[in-house]
Amino acid sequence: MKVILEFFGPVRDRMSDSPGTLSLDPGPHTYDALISILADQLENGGVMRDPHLRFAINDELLTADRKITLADSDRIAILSPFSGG
Amino acid sequence: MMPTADILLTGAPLDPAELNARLPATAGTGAVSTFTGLVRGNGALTALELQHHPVLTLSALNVIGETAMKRFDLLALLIAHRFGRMTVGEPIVHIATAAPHRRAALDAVSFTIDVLKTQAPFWKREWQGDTGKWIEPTEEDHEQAAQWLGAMQ
Repeated sequence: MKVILEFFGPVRDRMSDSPGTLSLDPGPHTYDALISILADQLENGGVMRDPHLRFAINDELLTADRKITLADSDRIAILSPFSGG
Repeated sequence: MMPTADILLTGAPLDPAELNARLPATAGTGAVSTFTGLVRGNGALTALELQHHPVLTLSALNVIGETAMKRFDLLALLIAHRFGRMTVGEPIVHIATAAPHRRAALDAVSFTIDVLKTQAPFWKREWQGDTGKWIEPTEEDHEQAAQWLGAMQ
């Protein structure tokens, strides 16, 4: 299964060498597993363990307790800590 | 039926006076409170850039707006937020509340801006000429949002 990665905010600069897609076999089923896979598979992936990062799948924000089901071509957004206002 | 929050997410300049006029006038309004956040001149700052998420930002503003409406029993709430590049002195965000009493109107403004800073997907970058520097939220930002966040769950 191939998923599409989207980076927003400062993390986009830090991960500029990362590919836009990632192969996951099998896909993660928990929030923590998703972070571990991203951290392990991406260059400079340690950034993924920042506790203030947020993650979304297909434009839906994830919460730490939610079960994850991924399908081919799903979009995973990695969102830097927010700084609006 | 409960009124809904008026949410505006735009790349165009914000005019606070014009935005205040969007608040509906109701006989029960006893207080109107507003907050405008501006681009602060900071040394050699030439511009401030606000990036947003194409879907999640508007969703988050809607959730924050509806939560504030309910929590403070507001008669009206407007949240207007810029994205794109702004120069010193330009409004970034404008919030206006209307309530029967002053405490609700004032607290709702504080709630909305404190929560928005850490819960709405915006990313801020300061520009000095061609050099950009991301602005990360501070611990104070997180603490101020945390005091209200029970209302969001």
